[in-house]
Formats: sequence, C-alpha cells, structure tokens
Amino acid sequence: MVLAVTPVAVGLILWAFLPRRVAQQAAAPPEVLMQEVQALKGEVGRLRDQAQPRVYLVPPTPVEATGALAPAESAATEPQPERTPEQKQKDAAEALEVKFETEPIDAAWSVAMTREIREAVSSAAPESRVLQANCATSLCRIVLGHDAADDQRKLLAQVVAVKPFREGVFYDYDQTPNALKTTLFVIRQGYSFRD
Amino acid sequence: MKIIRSLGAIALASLVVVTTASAEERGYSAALCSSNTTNTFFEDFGINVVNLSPATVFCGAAPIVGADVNRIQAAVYDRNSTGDVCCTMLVLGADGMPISSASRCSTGSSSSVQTLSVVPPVNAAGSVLLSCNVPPATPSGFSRVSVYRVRSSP
Repeated sequence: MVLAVTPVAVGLILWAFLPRRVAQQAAAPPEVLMQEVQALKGEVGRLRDQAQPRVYLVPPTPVEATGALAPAESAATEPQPERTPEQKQKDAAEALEVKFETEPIDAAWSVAMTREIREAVSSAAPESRVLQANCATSLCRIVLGHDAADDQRKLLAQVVAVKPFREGVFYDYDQTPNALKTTLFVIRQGYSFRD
Repeated sequence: MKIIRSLGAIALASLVVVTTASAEERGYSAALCSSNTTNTFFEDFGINVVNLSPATVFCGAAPIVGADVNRIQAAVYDRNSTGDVCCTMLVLGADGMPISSASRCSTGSSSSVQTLSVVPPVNAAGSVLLSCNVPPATPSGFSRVSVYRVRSSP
C-alpha cells in the first residue's frame, strides 16, 4: 500500500512546485515558439557583430628543456636573501623618518621641546653641533654633527639621562669620514614609538 | 559544510599559535649583573647595595641577534625614600653602538617589587644592556635589581 501511494505523493508534490511559466510555455502554440526562437537568433547575431575579435596569446617556446624560468617568474619564486641586521636597522630608521614626516605638528609642544632639546645638547654634549632640530606631535628629529668619532661614540653617555631624552631615543649613525652625523628620533612622554 | 568550517577553524587556530610562538621572552637573574663598585653583593633576591654609597649595576641580555627587541623590563626594589632605582635600558647594534635608549625610575620607597618597563622602537638588536643606578641601603633594607626580562620577535 505504502509503495503504491509514495509515487503518487511525489508526483503531486512535483506538480505543485513546478513553475507555472514552464507549464504555460509547454502549452504555447508552435508558431509562438518559432517567433521566440527567431527573435533569439537575431539577438545572438547582433551580439556577435558587436563583440571584439579575441586575441590569443601564445606562450613562447621554452628555450631549454631544463625548466628554466622567465626572469620575472624566477624572481618571484627564488627565496629573497634575508636582510642583515644592519639593513633592518636602516629600514627601521626610514620608517621613523616617514612617521615623523607624516605627523601633524603640535605647534605649542613642538616649539618648547625643540628649544629644550637644543639647550640640553649644548649643555650635555658641547662637542656635538645641532644641525637640525624639529618636533612634530609624538616625535622629534635631531641631527647632530661631530668632528671626531669619539664625540659620536660618547654622545649616548652624555644625553641618555638628560630630561628630553629619558623617555626614549632611536639612534641612526652616519659614519661618513669628515661628515659624522647622528640622527636622533626622540619620543614624547606618553607616546610610544610603536603606536 | 561543517567539515570545511571545522578545517578552517583549525587552520586559523594554528595560525594564532604560530604567531604567538614567533615572539619570545627571556628572563635573566641579576646574578648575571656586574658592578664597577665594591659595595654590592648578590644573594637570592638580586644584586644589593650594602652601604651608604650608591652603585651602578650593569646587566646584559642575549636576545637572538637581529631580532626586534620590543620590550625590556626590570624588577627592582626601592627601599630608599630619598633616592630611586633608575635603569637606562639600551638596545645595542651589532657593532656595540646603542640603537635605542630609554630611562625609567622607581617611585617612592616600599618593600614591594616595582617593574620598570620600556618599549623600544623597531630595531635589529645585537644585544641588550641595562645600566641601573641603585641608591644606598637604609634601615628599611637594601635597594636592588632583582630580575629582568627581554621580549623579542625574529
């Protein structure tokens, strides 16, 4: 009994959920269907005429059978040599340079801090010349010139405990002979280098 | 669908574990510190200043060379109401030149530990050095550097 009723029930369910449009189309007269087919053919032809000709790129024949890669592919797949600590340090200095250059300027703090730093350097490290000193909002950038390598080496000991430099300083050294320079990035109290 | 979601969750969880595992923190005892004065001694709880003169204590740390040292902390005891324990924390480059510096001091005076902490700028460290000024002993006890730790990422 159940076996006989099941196909009937399934058939009823399918009929109930079958889209009416399909049923109507199936019942449409042949001449209407022919008109629709002709209209579709016309539409396809029009689209073909509008379409741009396709361009096929043929890959070049490999030069060698050893599986040599094109230069671009080779560069993408070869492992890049790991950056040395010195290179990473230069990257860090450049990142701070960008951060400093893109910061807005807190005018009141900037003027006061720049003055304080200039005074601190001339008092604590008189052998060093302040070539540039500017402050933005969270960072100051100070470029110091030195006449001797010793002056550059002892800079830290001279300034590290002085007030404007206590919060945190990043040092970037330029050891070009006769043009010794140290760039100091000084962080403002309450801010972090890593914000 | 459930299986795909579960696999995705497992992959994400693994990523978190890997990311967490890539940073490391190393702890050091002040037994590794040295001083250029004779008024210090080391016992279980740190390196102490024993008389009425202050002392400077130098403590080295060994992060992986080229790693980014992103936090340095020192646990200190300040038992002197007129002087503080002040540590200058340096990240040194491969040539020994400092690439970052910062100074932190304890506040007040108490029998509790105080943590001095610095977050240096992004760097490629050669090593780490702490230089701590420790005030003289008082009837309250010895001021000292106890332990210190360095966190870094490769």
